[in-house]
Amino acid sequence: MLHTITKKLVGKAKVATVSAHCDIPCKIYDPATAQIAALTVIRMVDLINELDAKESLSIKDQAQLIRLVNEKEAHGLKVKEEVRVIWGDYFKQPQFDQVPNTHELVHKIMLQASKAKQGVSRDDALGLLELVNEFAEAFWLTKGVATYKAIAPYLPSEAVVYPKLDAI
Amino acid sequence: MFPSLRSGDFVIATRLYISISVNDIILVRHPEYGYIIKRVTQLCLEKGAWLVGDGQRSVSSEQMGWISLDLIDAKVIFSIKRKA
Repeated sequence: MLHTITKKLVGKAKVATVSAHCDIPCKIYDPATAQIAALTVIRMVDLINELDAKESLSIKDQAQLIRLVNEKEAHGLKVKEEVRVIWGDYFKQPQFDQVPNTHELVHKIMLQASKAKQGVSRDDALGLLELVNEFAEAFWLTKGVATYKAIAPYLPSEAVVYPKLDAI
Repeated sequence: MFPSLRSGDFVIATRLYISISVNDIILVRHPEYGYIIKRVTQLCLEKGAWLVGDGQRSVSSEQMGWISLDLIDAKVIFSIKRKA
């Protein structure tokens, strides 16, 4: 009762929200999962377009197409989720100061991932990887880790940003 | 802060307090964890306050360490709980 009244009274008034931090901040963040998901989206687009080149699709092909579309959808979502977690949980004011365009970049990734999910354009999927690579560069910059670009040693053989780590 | 507080509960907190005592629930502006709510379990003149969450899965005090008293923003005086 009192809670309901308070909620109504508070309405749109600015009431600060505090976190009890009941999740476990494990501090393990790595944009690699988002990069792999973006690569998967490209690969799924390539495989879908291979099917498209066929004159007609057998039942087996159709079942394969459904699987490919499902995976493309799932990995597009995964890109969004992974990037959102790093942006929301890891990035704080010191990191935003280091990479002032983070909000804009993350928003671009959200939009591009939707675009890549909606169609089967390779350019859209590549655009997503480029943005995620940019995000990975920003992330490693905040960690003080240098990066380099290399072609991933598996299909779809696209350029990926990797952290330059010293061997132990 | 479960079971003392659950997500969506309201708290009334004051910045005008005389002292902080063990067992007080306080609001802290933490440089790493943001604006958080915790319970004070130890107080030390030199080190500040040692905080814990009531929930078992809450961030541990070891992770957070001692909190400077300067980081304390307000002290909770009343909570309004939503229906279970």
